Amino acid sequence: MPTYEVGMILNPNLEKEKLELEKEIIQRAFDKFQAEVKAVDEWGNRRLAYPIEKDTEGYYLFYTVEMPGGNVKALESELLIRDNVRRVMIVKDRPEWRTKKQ
Amino acid sequence: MRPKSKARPRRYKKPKVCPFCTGELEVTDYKDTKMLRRFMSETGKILPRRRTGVCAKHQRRLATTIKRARIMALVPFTEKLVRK
Repeated sequence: MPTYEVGMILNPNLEKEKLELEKEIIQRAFDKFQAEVKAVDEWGNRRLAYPIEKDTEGYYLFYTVEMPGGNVKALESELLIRDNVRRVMIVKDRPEWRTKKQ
Repeated sequence: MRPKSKARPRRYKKPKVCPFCTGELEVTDYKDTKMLRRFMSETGKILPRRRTGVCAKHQRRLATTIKRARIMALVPFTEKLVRK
């Protein structure tokens, strides 16, 4: 199964409990589409390059996920249903494109 | 008409090496804004490779990466030019 990176921008003004609820909903969506979470990168609130929905900040979340390729589009539209989720981008990991040498 | 011998001499340009081919930088990482800004103009445009020295293959991939970063609001689509 290919690896994907799911990048998300959430509403920056969420309270702690609401944020937890959003994350739980995201996790449920992953389970629904057989996406196995390998790593989570949480940046928290960060300044945006341009305002989104009149907010100059956004809550950044990045998941590294393993899932069957056919589910990508469905997962993206499922995640976008919530109003607090403002951006979703699912990008396939291409190890053959990587250039940096360790 | 000006005689041909008076034509301006071609400026010598130091050949640049693609920093992605040397393994110095990572092309696929759209989260590295500091790296991406190096290949963008002040106003947010993608710079031509004749100015940055990136090879054709990596310029195509770099353009994709910059466009991804724009969608995620990590780098701007455009920025107003500030005159000093």
